[in-house]
Amino acid sequence: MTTETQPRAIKVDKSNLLDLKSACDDALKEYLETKGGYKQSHKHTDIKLVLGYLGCAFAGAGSYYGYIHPFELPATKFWTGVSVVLYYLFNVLMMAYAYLVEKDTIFTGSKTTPHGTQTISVGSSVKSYNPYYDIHLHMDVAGSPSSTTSLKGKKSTHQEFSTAFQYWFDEDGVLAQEQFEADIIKFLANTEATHIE
Amino acid sequence: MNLRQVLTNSLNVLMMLFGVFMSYKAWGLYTNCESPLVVVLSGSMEPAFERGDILFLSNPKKAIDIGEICVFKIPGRDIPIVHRVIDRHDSPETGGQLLLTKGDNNNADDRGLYQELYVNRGKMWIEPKDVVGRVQGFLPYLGMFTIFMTDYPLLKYALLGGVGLVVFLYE
Repeated sequence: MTTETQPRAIKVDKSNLLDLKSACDDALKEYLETKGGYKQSHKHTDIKLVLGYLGCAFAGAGSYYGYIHPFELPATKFWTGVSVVLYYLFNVLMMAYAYLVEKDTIFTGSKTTPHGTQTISVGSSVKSYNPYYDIHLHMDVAGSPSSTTSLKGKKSTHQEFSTAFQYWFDEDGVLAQEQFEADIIKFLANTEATHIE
Repeated sequence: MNLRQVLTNSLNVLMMLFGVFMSYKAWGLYTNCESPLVVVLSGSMEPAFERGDILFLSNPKKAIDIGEICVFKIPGRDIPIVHRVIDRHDSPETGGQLLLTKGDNNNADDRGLYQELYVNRGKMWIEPKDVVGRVQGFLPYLGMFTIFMTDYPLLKYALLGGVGLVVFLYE
C-alpha cells in the first residue's frame, strides 16, 4: 500500500487557449511549491485584496451614512459624493496595480540555496490563436556572507521560454505531468546556470 | 479552497454589487434626486404611463411648471405617487410654491389623496419639498420585473441566491 497520494490528472478542453494556459499555470505553481522548494509570496494578491476591500469599506460606510441621513441635506450629498469617489479611486488603483505591477505574474517565491537566497518570479502569457505557452522567469540570487561559494552581492537573470502546448497535452486534453515537469526542470536549470560563471 | 481564494471570490462579487450601487448613487447626485429610477405601479397616468414603466427622474433647480409630471410623497404615506401638476401658486419672496396635482386617468384632482390621513386635514396643496423628482424620460414594460420581485418575494431571494452561488463557484 502506497502512502503517496496520486495527483489527479488535469484535463482541459484542448481547443480553449485560456484553459490550456490555466492548467499549465496551476501545474507550474504546484511544481515550484512542492518539488521546486520555493515558498510562495502572496504580495500581489494581498495588496489587491487590501485595495479592493478598502474601496468596498468606503462604499459601504458611505451607503450606510446615506441610508440614515436624509438625502436633501448638503452634508449627506457631500459624504455620498466622497464615498463614490473613494470607491472608484480604489477600484482604479487595484486595476492599475494588476496592470502595471503584477502584469502576467503567476508565481513569486523564494528559497534558500547554498548560493544564498534565491527568489523567482514567473510570468506566463499566450498570444491569440497561437498555441504556445510563453513564460518568462526572473531569478535573483542574493549571496549571503556565509555562502559557501564565491557569489557575493546580488545577481539577476531573466530568461524566456516558449513551448507549444502540443508537447504537454494528449489528444484528450490531459496534461502529461512527467513531460511538463521535465521541461520546467530544464527551464529552471537553464536559468540557474546563468548565475554560475 | 483556501482563505485567499475565498476572499478573492467574495471581493469580486462585492465589487460587482458595489460597482452597480455606486453608479446608482453617482447618478442620484448628478440628477440631484435620491431615487432617479422608479417604476410606475398604478394606471392613474394612462395612456402616458402604464403599470410597469420605468421613469427617469431629476430635480433641476428651476421652479416646477404646470404640465410637468412629478413623483411626490404625501407626508404620512410611504408610497410615492406619479401625477401631473395642474395648478401652481408661486411666492416671489420665499421662492416657495404651492402645487396641485391630478392623474391623467383620474376624474378628480388629488386633494382627496392629500387629505386621506387625518393629520393632513385641510391640506389643499403640496410643495416642492414633497416632490421626489420630475419625470425626464421613460422606458416601457421593463419595470414589470421589479413588480414581479415585489409581488413574489420568494422569486427575489431565489434569484439573488442563485446568481450569488453561480458567480462565487465559477470564479
